[in-house]
Amino acid sequence: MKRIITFVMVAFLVSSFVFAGGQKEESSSDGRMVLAMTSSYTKEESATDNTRKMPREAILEYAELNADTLDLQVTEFQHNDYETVIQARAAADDLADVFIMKGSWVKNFYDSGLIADLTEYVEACPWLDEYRDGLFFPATVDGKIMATPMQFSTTSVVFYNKELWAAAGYDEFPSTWEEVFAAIPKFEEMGVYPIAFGNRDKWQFNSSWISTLGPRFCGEDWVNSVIAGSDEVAFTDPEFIKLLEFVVQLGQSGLFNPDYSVVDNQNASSLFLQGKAATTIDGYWNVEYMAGIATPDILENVGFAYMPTVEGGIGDPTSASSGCGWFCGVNSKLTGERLAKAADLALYISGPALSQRMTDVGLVSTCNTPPSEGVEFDTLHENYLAFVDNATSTVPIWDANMNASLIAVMNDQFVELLAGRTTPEAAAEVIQAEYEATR
Amino acid sequence: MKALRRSTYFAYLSIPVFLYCFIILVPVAGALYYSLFNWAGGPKKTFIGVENFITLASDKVFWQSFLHNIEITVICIIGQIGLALILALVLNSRGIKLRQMHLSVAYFPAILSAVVVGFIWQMLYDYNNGLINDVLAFVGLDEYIQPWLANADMALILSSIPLIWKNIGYYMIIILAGLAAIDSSVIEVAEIDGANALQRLMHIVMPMIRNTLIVCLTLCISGNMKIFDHIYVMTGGGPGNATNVMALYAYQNSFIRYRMGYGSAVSVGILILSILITVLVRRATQGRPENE
Repeated sequence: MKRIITFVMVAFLVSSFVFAGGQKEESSSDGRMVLAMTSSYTKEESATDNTRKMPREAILEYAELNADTLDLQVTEFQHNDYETVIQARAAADDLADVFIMKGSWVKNFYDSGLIADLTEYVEACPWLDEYRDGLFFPATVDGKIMATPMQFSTTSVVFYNKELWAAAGYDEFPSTWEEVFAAIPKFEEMGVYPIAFGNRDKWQFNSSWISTLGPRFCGEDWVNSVIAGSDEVAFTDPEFIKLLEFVVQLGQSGLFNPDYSVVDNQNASSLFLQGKAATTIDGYWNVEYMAGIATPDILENVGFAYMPTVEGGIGDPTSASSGCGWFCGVNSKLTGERLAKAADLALYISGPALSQRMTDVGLVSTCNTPPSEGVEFDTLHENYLAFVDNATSTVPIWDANMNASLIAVMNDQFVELLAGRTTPEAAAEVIQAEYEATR
Repeated sequence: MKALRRSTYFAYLSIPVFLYCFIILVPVAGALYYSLFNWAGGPKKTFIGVENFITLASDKVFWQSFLHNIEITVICIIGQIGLALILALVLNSRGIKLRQMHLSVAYFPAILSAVVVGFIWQMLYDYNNGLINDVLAFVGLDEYIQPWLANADMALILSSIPLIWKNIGYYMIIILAGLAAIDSSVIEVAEIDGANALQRLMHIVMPMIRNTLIVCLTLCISGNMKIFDHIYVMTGGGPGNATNVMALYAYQNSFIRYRMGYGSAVSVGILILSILITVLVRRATQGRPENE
């Protein structure tokens, strides 16, 4: 028996050592530098989505331009799987040399010593002045820039069906929530949902609704203080409780399709495009989704509007939550030439190489790049560009700037509030407890 | 034939033991180790002893998820093993026609992945285009039309039905194998003695396939205590936490909230609770003396 136990113990130890990882390749057989990269921009998804296609093309272009000295080995993962893959690899301290990452991971990766400081490379970047304001903010920790932005994301866009709202008696989308609530009976008569909503994955409500509604109730200073982890603000503050009361009101109002908690935002967009709903509130990615599945005559009928204002609310009524949710980071294990090359790659795919491509297909991106000569856009993209241009201010995207665990707890509480299964006060206590534990 | 030496036995055994250690023991030991740390992933972690387990003991969502696992297990024991037993008895009866076809049809869902099954049933339950609501509308029962999986009171039971559908054939095959092992002369003698079908089932068949049923029970419990993919696809644990299960909660902690240490503690919790329940059930089912 003793022998068998010894045998199993030895096998256990040997197997744990044998599979404990190996040395990574730093240069190829022809002497070129090897950099491994993981990205969430796959060939398949790029076929129908320019928000994936353009960054992918920028990466491939960099690899081609530097092919003499660099062997860039890119591994692509489906967007939906990417988060789990990267988190698992981060946990195993096995991140690639360069990797696409979420803004909300930066603080965690920084605390864990996983990402390299790119400050000196960013400050020396020739196109630094061309970047849109505030894009580096979610990737900046203790004054150090830890990643480069890969998008300019507007997460709160009101897409509305012009014909349906006209039939309900509105020439354009209402500017106040009171008017929106007043329109509910008219849409009920028409057999149409006022707002198509899909919150299956829970982030949708936070990202597309709360990011813009938050400052309207609590003020931008309050939101910025929360992002900074200040102990001078709390989620139990009366202004946040008012926001939560409004969330309950939204959930009970009859605005949404009844299955909103089990369908996602793309399902909601489908309902909207089929004319079964008069509105949907989603991010800029929905522009590409709609352009990919709807006919031009349907898209002609899509209007863009800002989140309606609330009675007694504060903040800018034509603000939209915008910023960068996805970044490119570099592994902290890289040093010297390899670090410099990886930083060069991260900046290249984030700068005009990406931005020009995005601008030319009617999307707003990281840099203020004008469209190339002769480029024309369809009505949907023209309307989206006008929406971004006419927004008088931007407010931070909550789930790109706040701690991921806090956001997860918040998302759970919003689901409960929308369903009327908890009270604003109880939800605020739960969120505050997580805030105190994570700030 | 020359007898093999002991060292040769060990050499042959070393390969599976080595693989078993790598696949099972190393990850379990790893989870146990990481559960003692405040760890968000990466090389930096802080040793906090059993603090994660103290938090786990008072974590309402974890215990709620545990209860959901138990509910799913009970539903599946009744639905999967119960119905599988009935189907196996029917298929084992003498008058049954097209036996192979029935077997194939019943077993077919078992070969589908949980993800495929989840998607199929998600489509059936869909509010706007789902077959169930379409049928209700067709027969004029419009008042029962609803977003099925959004109903927090029913979501768990509705999520369990596809599990029953999927695994019924699997347990049926196991039970059929148990039934095939019963000596037909025993049944014939009982028939001659005047035992009716119910008496034969209760006093002869059931005691003789008891060990097979215990195997089914153990498989059903262990399978449902670690259920993940099916729930992940169908409801994502929602609405709210209405269908959340322990494995999904471990995943959410580890990969959504970056609490790798706590996620590991949840995994260890799942292991302990699963072993505990399996042992209790085996004790309860094997406790009777063999004097019938």
